[in-house]
Amino acid sequence: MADIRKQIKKGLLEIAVLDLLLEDDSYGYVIIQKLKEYSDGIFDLKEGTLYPILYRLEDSKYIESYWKTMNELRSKPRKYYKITNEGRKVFSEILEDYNFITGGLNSILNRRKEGKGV
Amino acid sequence: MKEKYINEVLSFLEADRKTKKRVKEDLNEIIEFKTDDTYETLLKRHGDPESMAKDFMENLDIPDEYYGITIGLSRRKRSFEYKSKRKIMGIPLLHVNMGGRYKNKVAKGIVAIGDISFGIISIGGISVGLISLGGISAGLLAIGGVSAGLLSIGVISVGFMAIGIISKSVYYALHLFSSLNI
Repeated sequence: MADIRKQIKKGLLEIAVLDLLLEDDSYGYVIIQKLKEYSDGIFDLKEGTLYPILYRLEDSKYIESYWKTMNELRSKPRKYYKITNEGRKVFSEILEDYNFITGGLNSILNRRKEGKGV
Repeated sequence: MKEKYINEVLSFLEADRKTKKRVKEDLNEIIEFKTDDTYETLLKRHGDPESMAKDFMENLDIPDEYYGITIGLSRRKRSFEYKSKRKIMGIPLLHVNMGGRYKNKVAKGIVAIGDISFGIISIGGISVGLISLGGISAGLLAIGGVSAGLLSIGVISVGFMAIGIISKSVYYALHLFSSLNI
């Protein structure tokens, strides 16, 4: 059961990260903050959760990373992530699949309320 | 302090070299360390290094169970590696590599100390060197539980000259139980 939960969480987080990067290029710290904010605190990720997701997306060529110097106050460059064309394409396909699957799953889970098959 | 914290995380992380490099680079970027911060501040902000490493491993799909054989000088959860900057013919003067939950760490150096070691002077679980000391040991001078060498000293030893409880030699054998002199 723990394995299923882990897989669901991973899959959903990959979708969430791709969605954030559709808006704008971003770096680790901001991605963590935005995920927390936009999910009302549900996706409160640590570095050990976020970076493996970024690695998988980068290895699959759905996102790319590049270094960017922010301003004079911070001399150290930041590692930014941007979504690739392949990533955009895959995201819209995944989103379609996600809506299709969750639609079906919701029908199963809500069947009693709707008086189906009981 | 920041470097110490990151190295602690890496010492608990059982991943290949490429992944470790990637994690190090990203932790260096994301972990902020202000002048008045202490090591405790980092622990409070990012959690303890072992938990962070575990989190990485879980999300990198690195299994937490290990069914292989670990040959080791150390079976600590934390691995340890030290490679001296000084090299002779491209080989580190000293390489120590051991520990960690999984895998057997290999040390290669003029002086090598590791789970598995190769060196002029070599100390390891399995050790190969001119002067070799190990659980299983091979070398010109080999000392070990099971040893093979020109001069071999071990519980079970094989060599040109062999000293052991059970020994077999070409030239001279000093043994306790069996005479296997050729």
